[in-house]
Amino acid sequence: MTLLVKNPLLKYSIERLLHEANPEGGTFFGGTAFNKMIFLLYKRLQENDVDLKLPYYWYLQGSLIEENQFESDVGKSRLYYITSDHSSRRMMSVPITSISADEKQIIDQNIQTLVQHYKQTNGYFKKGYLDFLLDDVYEKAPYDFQRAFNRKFVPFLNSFKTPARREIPVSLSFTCENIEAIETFLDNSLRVFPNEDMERIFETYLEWDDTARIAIEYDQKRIFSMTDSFWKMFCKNLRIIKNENIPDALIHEWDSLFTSTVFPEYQGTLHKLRTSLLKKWKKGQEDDKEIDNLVKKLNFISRNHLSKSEN
Amino acid sequence: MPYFLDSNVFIGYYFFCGDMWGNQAKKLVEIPEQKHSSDHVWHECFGVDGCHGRCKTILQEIKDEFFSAISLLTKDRYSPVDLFSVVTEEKWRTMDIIQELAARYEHDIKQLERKIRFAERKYESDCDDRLSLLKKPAIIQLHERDVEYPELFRTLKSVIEDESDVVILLDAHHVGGTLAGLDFVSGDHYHVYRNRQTIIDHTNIANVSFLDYF
Repeated sequence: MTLLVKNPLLKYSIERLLHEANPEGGTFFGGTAFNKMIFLLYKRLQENDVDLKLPYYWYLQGSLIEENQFESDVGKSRLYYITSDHSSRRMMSVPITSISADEKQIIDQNIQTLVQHYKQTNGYFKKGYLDFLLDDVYEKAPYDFQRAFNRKFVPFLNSFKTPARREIPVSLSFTCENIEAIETFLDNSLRVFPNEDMERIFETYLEWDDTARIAIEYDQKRIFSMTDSFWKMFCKNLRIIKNENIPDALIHEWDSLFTSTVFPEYQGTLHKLRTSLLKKWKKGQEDDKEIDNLVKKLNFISRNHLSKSEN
Repeated sequence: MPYFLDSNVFIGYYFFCGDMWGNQAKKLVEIPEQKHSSDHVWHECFGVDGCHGRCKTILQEIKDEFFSAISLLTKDRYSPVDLFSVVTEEKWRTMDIIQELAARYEHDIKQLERKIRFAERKYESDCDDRLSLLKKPAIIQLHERDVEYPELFRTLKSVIEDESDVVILLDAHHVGGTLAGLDFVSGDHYHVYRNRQTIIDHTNIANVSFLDYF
C-alpha cells in the first residue's frame, strides 16, 4: 500500500541514494549500508541547511532508522527499499520529485561525493566498505563511550573468536597479556562512560565492569555473552535519550518499557551471574588477613547501621 | 527444643563479624535443633525476591560506595588523597575503611583499586554464601500465617509499640500452635525480651530467649 508522501525531501534522497549507490539492486548495498549512508547524508545536508528530518535513533550498531515514522514520512516502508533478503531495490532512473531545483542540486552533489567516498575507481564498493561506513557513523556518535565500547572493546573481544564462523573457540584461554589488554579496554570505557546523562544505569554499569573483570580471570567465555547483554541494555537506554524526529509517544513507550522491564530484568540477570562468578573468584583466592579484617569491619558497619535504624 | 528466629538473628548471621551478636547468631543457625521463622521475617531482611529487604539494601549501598571509589580513581583520576577527602567530606558509610586503604596505598593507585575491589567482592560473596545457607529448608523452615489473631494482636500491641515486632510474634504464636516448647530467640531487648512474660502468658510461645544469653 502506498501512503501519502509527507516528507518528499527524504523520499527523493533515499531513492536518489539507491540510484547512485546500487542502481541495479542486490545485496551489495544492504540494510546496514542503507541505514548508515542515509544517516551520513542527513548529517552532511544539515551542514548545508537542508533538513531531511530523518527519523532515527542511536542503537546497537550506530544510527538506525525508526521504521514506523519512516513509512509515515516517505509513504513506503523501509522493506520496500531494502527487502527482507537484504537486497536494495532496483532504482535505475533518477526519481521524479517536486522539491526545489536548489535543494535537488545540493542533495545530488552530496550523494555523489558520499557514495564515491566508499567506491573504487571501477565503480565497485571498496572491500570492507561497511566497516568504514560504521567508523564514519560512529565518529558522529554522541558519546565517546559508544566508540570505546562498541568500536574498540567489542572488536578486540571478537578477535578471540574463530575467524571462519565467529564462534568462541572451545579451547579459549586468555593469556596474562590478553587479560591485561582487556582490562585496559575496560578502563578506557569506564573513563568515558556518560554518567551524567545515564545516571540511572551508572551503578549497574560499575557492577557489570567489576563482574567482567572477574569473568576474564575465572570464567572467560562468559565475557562474550555478558558484554553482549550489557550493550543491548545500554542501547535500549541510549535510544531514549539520543534520537531525532521521533514522536514523543514512542520515546515515552521506550522509556516505560526500559523502566518496567528491560532494566530490572537485566539487573536480575547480572545479579545471578555475579553471584555465581563470585563463588569462583572466592575459590581462587588465598587467605588475606588484610581483606578479612576489612570485611569484618564492613559487616560490623552494615549490621550497626541496621540496629541503629531499628532503635 | 524448637526455636523461632527473629530478624535480628538473621541480620547478625548475614553480617557476621565475629563479635558476641554475630557469634551467638551463628551458633543458633548452626545447632542441629529445629529452627523456624516466618515469611515476614525473611521479607524484612531479604525482600520477597531475595534481592531487597533491609540486609540487601544496606549491602547494595555499601557495594555502590566501593564501586564509586573505583570510579573516582579510574574515571575521574582522583589521587588517594582526593578520595580520602571525598569520603570524609561526604561521610560515606565505608569512610573508615576507604580512609585506611587510601592512606596505606597512597603511592600505589593500582594496588589501592585492587584492594577496594577485593574487599567488596569478599564482603559480598561471604554474605551470599551465608544467605544460601539460610535459604536451605533443612536449616530453617519458613512459615506463612493464614490466621490474623486480632485479639492477640491488640493485647501484644498494648505493650509492644513496634507493630512489625507484634506481627512476627503472631507468626511465632501460629507456629507454636502446632509445635510444643517453641523458644522465640530475639536480640531485641527493648521491645521483645523486656516483655517476655506477657508474651509467654498470652501466646503459644513457650519461652523467649535473648540472643546474647542464648
